[in-house]
Amino acid sequence: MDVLLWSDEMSVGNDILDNDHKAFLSSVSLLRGSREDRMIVLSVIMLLEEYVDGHFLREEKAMKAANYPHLARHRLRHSWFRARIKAVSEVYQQGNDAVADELPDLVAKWLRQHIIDEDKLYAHWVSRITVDNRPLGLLALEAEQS
Amino acid sequence: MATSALTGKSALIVAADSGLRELIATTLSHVGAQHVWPLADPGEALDRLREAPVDLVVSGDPNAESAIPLVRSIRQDLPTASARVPVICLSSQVSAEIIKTMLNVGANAVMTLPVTTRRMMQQVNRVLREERPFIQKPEYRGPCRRYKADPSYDGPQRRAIGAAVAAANPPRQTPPPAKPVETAEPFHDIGEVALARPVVEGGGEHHLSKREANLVAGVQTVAATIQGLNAALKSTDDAATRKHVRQQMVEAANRLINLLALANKSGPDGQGPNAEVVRQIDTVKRAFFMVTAQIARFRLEAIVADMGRRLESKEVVMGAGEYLAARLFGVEEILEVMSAGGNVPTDLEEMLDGAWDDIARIRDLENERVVLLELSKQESPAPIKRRPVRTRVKPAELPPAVGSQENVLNQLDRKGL
Ligand SMILES: [Fe+2]
Ligand SMILES: [Fe+2]
Repeated sequence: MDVLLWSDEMSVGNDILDNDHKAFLSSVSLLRGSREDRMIVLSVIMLLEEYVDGHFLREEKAMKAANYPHLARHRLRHSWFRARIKAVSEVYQQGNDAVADELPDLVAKWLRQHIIDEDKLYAHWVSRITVDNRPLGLLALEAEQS
Repeated sequence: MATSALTGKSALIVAADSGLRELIATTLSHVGAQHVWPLADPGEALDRLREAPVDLVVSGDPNAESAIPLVRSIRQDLPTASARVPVICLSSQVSAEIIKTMLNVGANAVMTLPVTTRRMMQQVNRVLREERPFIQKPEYRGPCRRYKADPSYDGPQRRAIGAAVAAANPPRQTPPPAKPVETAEPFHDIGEVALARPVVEGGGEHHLSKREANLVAGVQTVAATIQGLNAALKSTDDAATRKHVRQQMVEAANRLINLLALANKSGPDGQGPNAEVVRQIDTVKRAFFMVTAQIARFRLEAIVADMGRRLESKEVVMGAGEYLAARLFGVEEILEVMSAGGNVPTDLEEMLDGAWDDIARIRDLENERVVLLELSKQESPAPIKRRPVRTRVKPAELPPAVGSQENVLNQLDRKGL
């Protein structure tokens, strides 16, 4: 199975959030194609960092609005995830290009695991509320400023 | 609130390289574009623009000069409605000379890679919102070129062309390491954290390899963070402090997890971890959990006392439930960090559960008050949402270290975290 492919078992029952997850996987797959051009790889890695900020804020807002009882734990999981992406980004930016070879699969596995272990648990709660549907870039900006 | 000028709009992308084309498409959709047409061929792009105007064109090519004929054709060969479209050119490197040429043929902005959503949003907002007159003269057709200090270029060459504009995208700064804070009133015996003597590379009792020195440096950073947390222990329980404490804790916990993973990995020459280093990591780990437990306990007791007073006097101010819940949530987050690395004292868990129940009671009081108020206005009352009864789930084991794949882990190792 290709870890970069979306599958139905990953659905959290909300189109906006599902689309975010799909967008993450397709951004990751950009890393597979353009490894020769450092600037493109670097852009994609920075894009992933921004994505994570924006998407996590969207999810956390939704969980809060839904009174989801395990928000604290979920937020902590997001912190781990964010720290990992940041760490690989730093490693790459320091010139270790070889890391990029492992990145797509590694990062996609992290996401898949997070969706299945954590995101799916809020599906039922979030189904009753309206999820903020502003573009990811704006949410990333808001996350940075908050 | 920030907005994106591209929300719901259409953009045409022209880039021969498929990776770059998809990168631009992804970036633009994160900026809010509704329709994105990625095209490889400039001729096809011109045909497409001739058929119907779009809101934005982004051209991408590692070589900046390749975009010049396209921009020129957009401005000169297309019907006015299509020719007015803002054009952003993206490339790997540009010289001052090329920027001038690009702007002279009618590009609105020149950007260099790496591109981020944020930088793209800035440029998109600028080119879509600016009111630059569109000039139609025999010798030039395009946006007015009398720009102030050249705000239309965003990239590292800025200074080279003498533009006195502060960098739109300053390099990210890594925050300085947390400074050890002297506390006037140190809590119990976390004094142990200030490790007896910093072990320096190649010196002292143990001869440390580079890798061990890195581990020790990591330990010392965590120890400094713990000192800082200790200082925050008695500070006010407001939103800003909660955020600060949370960030510090998560960072320290992450570092600890990585340190543990790296220390347990044998070195490049196959030797096991240095016992002294392992001992230091262990010390700092214990101190970390002690401090976090103390913060949690201190805050939780304060909240419980506060709630007790309010419940007893039935003096519940509207919004109190929300305020208390925010503070309690801060404590819950601390307990989550702790539970990821060991166990949470049972009495703290029970106190937390009890506190959530009290908050539900306070919310009920608020609710009653609203009902009374609404009834007096002869309107049907709007129910206040009651927070569901919370049960703490047992957390999963420690998350795996940052790089569970070998190469990444090795890289992080070399980097000393
Ligand atoms: Fe998610
Ligand atoms: Fe999530």
